[in-house]
Amino acid sequence: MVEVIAKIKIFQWELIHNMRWLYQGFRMSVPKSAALQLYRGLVRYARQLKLTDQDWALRRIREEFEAGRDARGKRARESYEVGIMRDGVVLSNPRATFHAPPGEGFRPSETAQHHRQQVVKLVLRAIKESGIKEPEKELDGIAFTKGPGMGAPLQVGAIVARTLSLQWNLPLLGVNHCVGHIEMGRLITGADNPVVLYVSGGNTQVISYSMHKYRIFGETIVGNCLDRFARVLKLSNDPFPGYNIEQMAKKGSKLVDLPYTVKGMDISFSGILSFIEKRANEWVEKGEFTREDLCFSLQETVFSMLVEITERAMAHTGNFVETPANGCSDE
Amino acid sequence: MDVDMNDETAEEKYEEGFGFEMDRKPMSQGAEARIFKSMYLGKPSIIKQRFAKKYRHSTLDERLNKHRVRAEVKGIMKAKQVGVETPALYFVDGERNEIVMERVEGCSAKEWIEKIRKENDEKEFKDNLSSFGILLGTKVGKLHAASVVHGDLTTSNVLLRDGNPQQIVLIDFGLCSQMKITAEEKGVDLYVLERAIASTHHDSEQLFKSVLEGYEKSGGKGAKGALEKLEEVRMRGRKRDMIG
Ligand SMILES: Nc1ncnc2c1ncn2[C@@H]1O[C@H](COP(=O)(O)OP(=O)(O)O)[C@@H](O)[C@H]1O
Ligand SMILES: [Mg+2]
Repeated sequence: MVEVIAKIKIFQWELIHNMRWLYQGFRMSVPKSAALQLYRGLVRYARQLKLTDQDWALRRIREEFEAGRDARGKRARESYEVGIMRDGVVLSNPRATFHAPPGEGFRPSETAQHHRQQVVKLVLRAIKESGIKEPEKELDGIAFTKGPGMGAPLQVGAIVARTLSLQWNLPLLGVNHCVGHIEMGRLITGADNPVVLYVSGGNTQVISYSMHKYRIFGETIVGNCLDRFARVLKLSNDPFPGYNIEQMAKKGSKLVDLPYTVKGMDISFSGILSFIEKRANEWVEKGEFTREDLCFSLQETVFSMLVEITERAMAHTGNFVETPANGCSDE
Repeated sequence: MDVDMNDETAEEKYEEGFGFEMDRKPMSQGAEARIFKSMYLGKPSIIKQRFAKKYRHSTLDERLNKHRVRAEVKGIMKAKQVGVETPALYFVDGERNEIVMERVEGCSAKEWIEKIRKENDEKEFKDNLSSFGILLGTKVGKLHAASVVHGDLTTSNVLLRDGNPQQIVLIDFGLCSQMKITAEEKGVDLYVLERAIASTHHDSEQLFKSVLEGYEKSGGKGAKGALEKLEEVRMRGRKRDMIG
């Protein structure tokens, strides 16, 4: 089957399958601090695996990391991509990347403008690179990201996809943004029933397929933790707050006892934020903890919470090896 | 066991006497703990062990495990006091983060629901589900009225003694919190249960509806506020989905 996929990548995702942890987020640079942390954590975790081929897991994690590193930019970016696939093989996938000005987020209108300027070029390149001569005949359908995301840039993809489908008389397939990321991950890793931790700027979710649907098992009850945290500590947001938190965290060493809120498979950052808002400045003044320590603690705590809810979801869906009569006894 | 309290080593013997090195057989690994089957002074028991998670900072890990053992013990005791059945506690080892408790023979609500789905026609299934839901809701309501939120309500954490849906035993209180509980926290507690049901059992809207019915009946004066918050939490989830 051949289909055209126009997708707008906004954030990063991670994929976890049967305790084989893979990390793909380095391509997209938004919360990079989370990316590095995750990498380190995954390596730590992989070493602990008992039921999975450790070397395999470690090798995959490293490969993903290396592959992603080249693409790591210092600025938040968003790319517009067009791809052509046949039977799960990507025939072509040209992309155009838009960098946000340092210290600023994306403005929908500017991003959309960028996409509008690039899209025709990209479609042509995708067709050319894939070696397709007669798109009307050779393609089976056209898929595009229908959301969620920023309205204006999404519209660009939708309009292009619709135009092509009318022109070539091909079926049109709107794909949910999250599902797109997940399916991409499944394709790349060959995982067949993953539990996915989807980390994005606005929201974090644990997702898995169950009873004929992708379902949200857990999510952040209060999100947007990094930005607000950076504001309290008066960190600069150039290039963006997450990056600076990460840099500071490298120099931190003392672990501050931050509220750790996991409820079922949901997490909440509100406790951490109000806690930090109340005490941070006093601590720093008195020299009890440095700002570096606070960043370090934030990373460790948030990271643990994220991994924990993923793990809980794995236990819940049974993707986790439950009841291994011999597997879990090391006594 | 005879222990002479004047004996200097009494304390040691006393501990040994608890049969601490118990025979243990791995039974299951849940969300965060390993469960071992065991016998405790001749009684069928389980050992719930919270082992170290290497992906976490070790200080944080230790703190969490200790905290959760404590929360679990307190939650189980508090629930008993307010008339919600929980397993009998036999022994707690704060060093190893282990709790030895009564083994509840029967099945989990999760297994029971799927079993009656197979064995009954649709109407009977719904009726069964309803009456079970109302009872479960009553239990949750009682906990909330006593300022305890469970924190991880799922159908695997509800056991049925002898497989009898009238004999609900709540377990897994590690994430529970007590005192100074806000309506929001109660709402989230219910929301967690709602989603756990939706993601485990298909065609089971009836169950959560009945849970709310039972909850409203028993939850005292805080119940109304909690239900309002539940609606708010649901709305928030929906709104956020739109911005990704
Ligand atoms: N007292 C008990 N009696 C019988 N089975 C139990 C008991 N406690 C736990 N279990 C079984 O072990 C599983 C995991 O225990 P739980 O306390 O929920 O740990 P976790 O926090 O890892 O989910 C439960 O779903 C249940 O099947
Ligand atoms: Mg459990």
